[in-house]
Amino acid sequence: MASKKTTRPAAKAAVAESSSRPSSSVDDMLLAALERGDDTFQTGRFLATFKEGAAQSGAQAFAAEQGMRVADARDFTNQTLVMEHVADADAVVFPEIGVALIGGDAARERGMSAVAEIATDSAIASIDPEYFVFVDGVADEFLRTLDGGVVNPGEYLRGFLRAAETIAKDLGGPVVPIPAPAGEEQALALGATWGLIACKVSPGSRSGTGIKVAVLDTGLDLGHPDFAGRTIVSATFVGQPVQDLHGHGTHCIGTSCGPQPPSGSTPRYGIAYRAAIYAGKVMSNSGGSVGGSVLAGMNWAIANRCEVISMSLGSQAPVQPYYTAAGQSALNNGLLMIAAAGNAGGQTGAPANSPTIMSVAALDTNLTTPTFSDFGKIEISGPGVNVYSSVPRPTRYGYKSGTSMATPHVAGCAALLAETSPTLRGMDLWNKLRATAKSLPLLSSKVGAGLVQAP
Amino acid sequence: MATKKKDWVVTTSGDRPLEDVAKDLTKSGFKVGQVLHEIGLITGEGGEDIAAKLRKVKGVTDVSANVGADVGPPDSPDSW
Repeated sequence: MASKKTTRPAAKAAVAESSSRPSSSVDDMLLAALERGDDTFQTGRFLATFKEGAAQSGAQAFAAEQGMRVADARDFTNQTLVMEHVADADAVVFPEIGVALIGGDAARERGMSAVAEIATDSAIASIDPEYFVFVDGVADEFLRTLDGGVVNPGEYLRGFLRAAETIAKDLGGPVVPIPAPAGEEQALALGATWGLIACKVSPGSRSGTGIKVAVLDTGLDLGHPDFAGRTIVSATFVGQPVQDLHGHGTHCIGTSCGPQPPSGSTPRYGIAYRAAIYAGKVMSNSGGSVGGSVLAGMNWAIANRCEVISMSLGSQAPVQPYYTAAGQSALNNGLLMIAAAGNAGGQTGAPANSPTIMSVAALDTNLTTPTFSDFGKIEISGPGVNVYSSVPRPTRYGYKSGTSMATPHVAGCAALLAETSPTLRGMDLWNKLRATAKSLPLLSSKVGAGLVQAP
Repeated sequence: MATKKKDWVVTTSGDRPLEDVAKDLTKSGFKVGQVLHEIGLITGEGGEDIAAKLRKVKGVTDVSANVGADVGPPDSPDSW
């Protein structure tokens, strides 16, 4: 006699068949779910769990008795199965875990579902719907897109799909160790990046507690494990979710505010590890500003009274009065704007060239300026070549170069300094950073007061 | 004949309420975008030749084109 399965809640009807095959991409399945207004988070595919030891016979039964085209993870090198390469398989078997993924129409054609009865002599123990897996706010964004309550649904959907794809890859992908460039090995052995060591950031240094650091950039990978448990206030000014799909913002926030490493598996790369992070997305995922997004972000950071406002962005333009006004307003409010000089190998760009904004040049491991680093109006310098920091998942960590990387070193040190005394704000903080910088035998038009130092 | 629209940023002196300046800018043909109170700026759109007109508005200290900003291409080892 057939055993009865416990009833499951009925799945929404009429799943778009072509989008729920084992070879279907996450994008296609998400898009299909959005198009049919399905808020159950079911992908349309099913997962069959085999009874212990029955995976082999179960897979054979799928092929022989059920007439399914079955792919096996063992068909791929090291069982590194790439879903898009299983072509027109109806089912994919994962022998190591005794589970098979079954396409939506393949299941339906054979009367398989989460609620159908399973014969007692079947190799299958259970059939369950496959669900989309989201992290944190992405599930809310999916539902918001479903409701159509967003101003720019096309942009929102594209941003959401990219975020979801990143997450899907994250669930399966390995963490690839990155070879360290020359000069880094010693620093890694010492447990911190060369940049932190050069800036005299040590385990005994301040943490940035009580200081708000605004980073106006491409946003942040909000689910990156290194930022778990941190105070993060985020806002977007570009019509895309704050979730960083570019990489630049996550890297800069990592340098200025990254954690003391928990497990010792990565070197320490962040400075103000207890500062409150204000992630303002003023640059889109393609790395450009949108209308007045930079100014809106500056306005927001000042409205939130962020003591340190870090901007690794700009254009090779002369001094802009509106940036100067923004910088002045920050100073008037006891806040400090710090901006990257630029990588054009020419005159400092805007907004860094404004007299009310601190301009940062880059240094390499020899504490000389790389040729790309802009010069002229330079207040201070920071490590800006082969800087290791956080990047969006699944990669998690990476190296970048630029005055963009030097700037968050200064911002992080500024946060530590600000923590030491409530009088170190605005112009006083500016002066203290310069007064305590490590003097270098180079032109001040190249390095300003020298290499920033942590207190 | 419509001239090409540009992104402009109007810097103010802080002597007048920002809303009053914004009203006068609108009267001069400016399409106000954002009124940024913390920094005393008004962003918006206008024809290429509108700057001279807007500079005459009481409380305006500067009218400049928005130069935009960049951080370099996505997922790049090099940046701004």
